[in-house]
Amino acid sequence: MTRTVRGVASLSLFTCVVVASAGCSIRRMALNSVASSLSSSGDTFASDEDPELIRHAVPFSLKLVESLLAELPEHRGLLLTACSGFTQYGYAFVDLDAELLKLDEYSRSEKLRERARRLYLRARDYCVRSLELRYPGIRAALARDAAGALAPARKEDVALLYWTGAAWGKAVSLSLDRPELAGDLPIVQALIRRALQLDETFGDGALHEVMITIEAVPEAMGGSPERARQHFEQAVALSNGTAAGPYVSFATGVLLPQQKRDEFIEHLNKALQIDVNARPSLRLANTLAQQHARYLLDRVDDLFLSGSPAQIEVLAMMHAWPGSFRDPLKNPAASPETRKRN
Amino acid sequence: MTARIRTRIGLALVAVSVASATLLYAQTRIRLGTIAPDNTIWAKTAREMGESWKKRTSGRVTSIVNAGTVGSEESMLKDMRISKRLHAAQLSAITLGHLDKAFNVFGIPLFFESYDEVDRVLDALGPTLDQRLEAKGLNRLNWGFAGWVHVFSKSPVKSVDDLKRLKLYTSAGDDQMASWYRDNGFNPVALDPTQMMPSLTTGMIEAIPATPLSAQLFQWYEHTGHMMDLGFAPLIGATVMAADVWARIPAADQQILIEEAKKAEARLRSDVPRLDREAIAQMQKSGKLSISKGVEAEWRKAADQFGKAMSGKLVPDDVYDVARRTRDEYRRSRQSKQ
Repeated sequence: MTRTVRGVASLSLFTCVVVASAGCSIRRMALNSVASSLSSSGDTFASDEDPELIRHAVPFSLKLVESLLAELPEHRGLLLTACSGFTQYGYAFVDLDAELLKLDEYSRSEKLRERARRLYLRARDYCVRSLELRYPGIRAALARDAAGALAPARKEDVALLYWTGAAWGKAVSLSLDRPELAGDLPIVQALIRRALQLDETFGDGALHEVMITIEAVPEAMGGSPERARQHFEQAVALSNGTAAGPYVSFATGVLLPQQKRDEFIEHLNKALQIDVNARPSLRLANTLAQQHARYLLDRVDDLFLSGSPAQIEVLAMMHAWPGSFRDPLKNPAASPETRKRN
Repeated sequence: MTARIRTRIGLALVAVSVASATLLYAQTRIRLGTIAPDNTIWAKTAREMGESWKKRTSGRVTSIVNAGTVGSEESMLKDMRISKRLHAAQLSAITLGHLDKAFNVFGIPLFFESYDEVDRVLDALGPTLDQRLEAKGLNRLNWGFAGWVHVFSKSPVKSVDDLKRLKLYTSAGDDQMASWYRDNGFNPVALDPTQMMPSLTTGMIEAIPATPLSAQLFQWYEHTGHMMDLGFAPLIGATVMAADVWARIPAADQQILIEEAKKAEARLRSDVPRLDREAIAQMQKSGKLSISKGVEAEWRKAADQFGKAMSGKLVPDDVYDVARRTRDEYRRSRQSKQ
């Protein structure tokens, strides 16, 4: 059945039901039908090749989902859609924008970060509401003993665990100066670890990709670059090398803090070599990951210690002759890494 | 080539050289390192400061902040002084103490009772400490505040003897400090900071000195469970810049850099104590941290002995004397007002 035929059938059913009876239960049934359609809308957004179109389209959809949730506050499909939708929108179109501005326009970047933080928290709250419906009391239990609270979770909960962990984890990562959130990292770790136990293949390695970041925290916090590398390898294997995200996560989470410049460049170049059309369901994610990878390669001299004391003078001279010299820190064409890439 | 042409070329070269020399001051790009990860208050403060430098100097001084990605404080310090790829860094008094023992004055256990006392001593010792840093090729831009160190332990610590019974973490590489602890009856275990978490888990260490903010962020409190209410010492830091880089910046811009650095200092001074308090409240709320009440009279008495034992060995006598005199004068002035 094509999507159009399915739509007509739904509409006919809707019309018949409305004609046949009236009242709240009908309205609720109709809302449920729309809600279910919305919460299983496939990869229309994820497979789009135009990130700007999606940037402008997603807010409308998210507000529609929220409108329906106001009527159906316990619709678990909608709750998951809202949670995953706000997380993805927050990351792709707010947080990533902030990241790309961080080195040059910090104040603007911070405003975007703050907005991203609020979007992640909104997403987290939808997910937690869904978790509460399935496991009453889990919110409080997570704060006391996260691993214990998640023990009853089953394989069918993996998507919910993943998106709860993703939204919460991103919110925590932007809140290291807020003790009310910074201490929630163990909850995030427990959510993703439990999901991994239940189904490590979820999302073609998406859980392993998150684990790269979790294991990339400083060793004094219990992180491990070696374990992060193992998760990176698993994420690449499970996605058959078609996802750019693991390469970027590993480069920024592990190779940058270790100042492994050559390996960093190599991994980002691998991310750029991935054909975004090979896996339509990953098209948008890969396009954005590659955008991030390009930015990181362009700024590699800022991110890694390099140069000599003379660098300051050289820079000063280059800026003195506009048009005569091209600043390699601003112009990737001049840096050896970019030349190699091109 | 005629002599006339050669002269012209020579003059042109001189002109270019003069222009270049002038423009050496046109833009200075400062690479500043911090061990604090992005989105912590220290990294944010550094980035804000850098943005203000750029704005107020009309782009003559710009900065790149490498947060949590350029190694330990020791390696950053080494880089600033030897490789010179890094031009400035946020460093703790612990690391600066390896460079010059005068900075150890801030680490004397229980020497300070409040930030107000710290402020007075920083004011009094500032010029001396700056001179000592300058002698090592560094210029201080501001003071930094990382929180107030408490003892986090696997069993409640109330008395000095309670702590002496526990295996206490000290940082590897600081043999003098470790032997000072040993000589004073403590049981130090020198470890690399990366080993903190696994060592707490296995019981290799049973007590750690840490600020509440870091104990919460790094989740150490979950493996200790107890914190003594009496604060041990403030964790002071400083933003320092390599003197040769500093010297390239025109005086007017130096003034701007200092003014903005002072604003960053003021923000840390105001926010970090509040964040420490909030971290304690959150850790208690989680039910995973109990606060044990230290026997204050006993600790204060011991504190004097700690200070005297450190003076001359770990802290230069003259620095210790100024710090103590300043602190005591402030305490007397407060008492007389009450």
